[in-house]
Amino acid sequence: MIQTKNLKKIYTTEEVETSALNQINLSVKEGEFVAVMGPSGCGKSTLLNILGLLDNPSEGEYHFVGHEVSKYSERQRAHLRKANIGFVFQSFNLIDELTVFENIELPLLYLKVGSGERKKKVLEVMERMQLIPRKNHFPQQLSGGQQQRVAVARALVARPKLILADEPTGNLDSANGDEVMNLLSQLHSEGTTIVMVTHSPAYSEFAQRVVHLFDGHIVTENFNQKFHV
Amino acid sequence: MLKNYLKAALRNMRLHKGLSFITIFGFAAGLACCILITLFTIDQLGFDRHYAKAEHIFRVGIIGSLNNKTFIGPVSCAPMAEAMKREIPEVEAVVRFIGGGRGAPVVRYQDKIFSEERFYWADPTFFDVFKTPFIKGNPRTALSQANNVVLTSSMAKKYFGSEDPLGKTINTDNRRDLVVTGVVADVPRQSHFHYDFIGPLAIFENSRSTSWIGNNFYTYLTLRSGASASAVDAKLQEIVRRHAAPQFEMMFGVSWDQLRKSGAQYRYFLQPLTDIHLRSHLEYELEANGDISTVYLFSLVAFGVFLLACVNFVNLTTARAATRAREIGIRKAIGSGRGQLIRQFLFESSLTSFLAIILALALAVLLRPFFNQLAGENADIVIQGNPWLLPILLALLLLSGLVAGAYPAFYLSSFRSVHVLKGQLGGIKGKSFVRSLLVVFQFTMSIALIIGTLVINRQLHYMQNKKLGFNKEQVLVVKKTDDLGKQVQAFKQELLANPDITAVSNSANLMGDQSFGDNVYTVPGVSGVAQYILWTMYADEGFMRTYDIKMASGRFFEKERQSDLQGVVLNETAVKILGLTDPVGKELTLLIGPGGKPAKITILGVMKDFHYQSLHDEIRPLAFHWFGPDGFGRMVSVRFRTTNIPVLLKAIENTWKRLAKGQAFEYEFFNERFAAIYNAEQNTARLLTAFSILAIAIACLGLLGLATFATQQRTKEIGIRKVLGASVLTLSRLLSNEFLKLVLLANLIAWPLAYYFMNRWLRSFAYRTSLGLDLFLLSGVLALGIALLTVSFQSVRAARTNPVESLRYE
Repeated sequence: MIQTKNLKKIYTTEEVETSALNQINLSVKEGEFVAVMGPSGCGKSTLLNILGLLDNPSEGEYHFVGHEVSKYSERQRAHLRKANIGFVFQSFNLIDELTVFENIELPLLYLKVGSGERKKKVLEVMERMQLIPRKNHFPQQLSGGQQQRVAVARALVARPKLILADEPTGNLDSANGDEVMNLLSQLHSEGTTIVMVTHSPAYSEFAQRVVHLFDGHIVTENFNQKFHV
Repeated sequence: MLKNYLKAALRNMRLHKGLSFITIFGFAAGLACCILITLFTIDQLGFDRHYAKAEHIFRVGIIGSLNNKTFIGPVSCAPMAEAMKREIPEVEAVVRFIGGGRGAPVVRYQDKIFSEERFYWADPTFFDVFKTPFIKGNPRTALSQANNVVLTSSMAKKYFGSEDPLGKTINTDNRRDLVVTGVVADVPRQSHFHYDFIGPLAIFENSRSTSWIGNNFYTYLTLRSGASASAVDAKLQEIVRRHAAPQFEMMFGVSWDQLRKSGAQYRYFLQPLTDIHLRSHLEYELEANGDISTVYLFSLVAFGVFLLACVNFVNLTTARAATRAREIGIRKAIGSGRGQLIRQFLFESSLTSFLAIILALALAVLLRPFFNQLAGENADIVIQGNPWLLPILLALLLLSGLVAGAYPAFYLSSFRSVHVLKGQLGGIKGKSFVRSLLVVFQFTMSIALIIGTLVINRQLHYMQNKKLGFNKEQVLVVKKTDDLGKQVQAFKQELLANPDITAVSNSANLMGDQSFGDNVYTVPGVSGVAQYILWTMYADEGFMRTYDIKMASGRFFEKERQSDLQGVVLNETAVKILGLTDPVGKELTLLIGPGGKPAKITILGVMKDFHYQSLHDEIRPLAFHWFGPDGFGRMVSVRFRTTNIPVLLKAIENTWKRLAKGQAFEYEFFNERFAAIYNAEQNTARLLTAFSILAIAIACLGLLGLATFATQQRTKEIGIRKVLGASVLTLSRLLSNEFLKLVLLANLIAWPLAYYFMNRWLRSFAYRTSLGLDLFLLSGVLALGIALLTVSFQSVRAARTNPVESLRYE
């Protein structure tokens, strides 16, 4: 599903060139759950942004579901993104002015899904995430864990092929963090492909494979034993 | 999707109540101003269009020029109308009329007696040109007899109440009986002249005059459809050549071509009826017209205010980018394309303009009376039920939604989600350059307007206080004294017996009158066509004393000398123009003297120049003639020395009542009457003052919004600085400085701009004040002070926040 070849990302600010990613060769198969770990500033989020088609690499190739997308324009990326990728962020990133229902509905609106089907799909995913009682609440009225559940629901609602999670538990206490991880794990077991950035060694255990980044390079890739018995 | 946009927009407004209010209110204030001015412009452009075939109606005017004195008037000579009808086939109908204004007749019906200033005397063809619906009577025959009169329905009500006016007889000036033969609808306000009565012109002997030299008649004509006005214009000159030229040749003893070669000019021209109200400002206009330059000025101001309001909107919306950025990032990550975001923000700005327009409409209704006052006496805009209102509102909605919405929409939608989701607003800060530019623009306009206002007020003050060469204070003017007839002498005598009254004078004109008569003079012994047109005033011997005018040489008229009737007193400018040295005692020839023949007159004295007209103009040559013991004029000026005005008025009124046989006592104070010559400037000053205040208010609203956001963005920085020991004062200064720099820059741009325009404006005055640096400094300090006040309101509050609050969320 994902394959990168010699991926490079260089940030240029005034006179200094910073290399955020260097020679990244990574492939993720359909249905895989990959965790990306590494210290702050090692390039995890940059990698995730490129994988999520929010950003373009400076050099190298990126094949996403069979398309070479490294030179895609923003419009092309947006088009591919909305049909295939769901995001979960550390800081939830819900829109404060919209209710829980409306936040979850948003990706479907952008996909121009008809209103009847939209409603059905949103309620379906809300039911699954146990969010029905919170339907008309605004994000500010929810706990962190609940907000992240809404964010996951929103990432899921359009049934994307890939879910990208950028430290989804970073702003949560351990109880809520566990809950979110269980949710992701369950999605994975149902066949969703997940790439997750995390600091937590414990939560990386949920993934099949852990990729360690350091200074923009992939230093090691470990396969999680429990999936390979 | 629209529903989603609507929800997001409304909830966003609710979340930022204060700022949404500032945005919408600022916008509404600007739009209200646009609505009013657009309605005013439409009103002014619509004058005289209610007449059928208005675009085929023209007025005939005259340009006459002799010895560098040019007379341009909206009038023609008596035989012109008939000649045109006879010799120009394109002319369908033509009418002459006179009357209106101060030579108003007194109309009497039974016990009802009124002086009617809107009484006109016209040819029977009046209603062929000015087609008007008749309520009673037959338009074809209504004016066919020389004792017929047509009046308006409000006059019918005033004199006859519920009686049928047709066939009733009214009396004018105790001389003439007229039979009412028609009642027409009142003349609409949007007309360049308004009549209440149309009587027969034929009763005036001079209406049958064959002279092509005196121009006393307002002449209007209708051209046949398809006729070209310029072709008719050319034919008018042929008519002059055929009929007027021989009379001039007889009069001057020189051939027409020679006269023309010496620079003399005598040509008639056509003015389209629909142009008169805004574009005709000649002497002897029927009523004070509007002015196209006022319409332009107002429109310019409307456009400027609209721009200011839009700039404000753009500023506040983009400033909010910081709080909207995250939402934009999320929407993009979730799948919104840029186009969808642009649509969303355009929708939001349209929603804001929609709310602003509703508020603007309410404001416009509230401000309407004030605006009508500003716009001057012949504007009266109506809002409710105005057919133009809806199109204007829709146009404004569309225009403002696009103009003010486009930049924020494109700007906001350009945020890259990678950055904004990480909380990097680097890109956003860079764009604050544009916002700074807009603030500079707003303040440049505000400061320039403030300077303009100050300059105009200073010039007004200068004009009202300049030594005019006569004393305009402590003089009361009793009007319509021609009603007294010869009793005016007795009236003056009685007034002089009052110890509070030091001088009185009966005169036909006064300083500040819109127009004066003029006469043609020649200097004997100077050959050829050395004709001089001098303005003339007619007064009695008391005039000089009453107005405290000084003589340069010779003497003024004296009561006992009957021979002074053949004398003239000139001003210094007239002496200069006539080229006389040692003028007292010399003779002049008055080209058309008593009885229409040339007359010899003696120069009795020379008055020091005094400003008898607006300070717009250089002092013009003036000749004073004496009424003599039997003459009488339209007003009596009374110089008084008491402060007890009510007692004085009572005394004068008592005298009046005894002598005036039931005529109403009317008076005004001379200084107030004289001040009216600066009405236009006073209107402009009021207008500019109002708009300066509006502009600076809008600019401050914008600044307040920007300051709020700037401090919000810097909350963390403020917190850190405070923890490190910064005081409230240094922090407020830090936050305010950024904006004050912009206002200073605005000053630098506004000053030369204002200097250029105000210098040009001042140059339209022959006598003017100077453009001092103090005005510029004052405006600058004023703008800076207001800006400082606005910004510090925010910055002090931010600086006083407990740093724990601002640092907690990280």
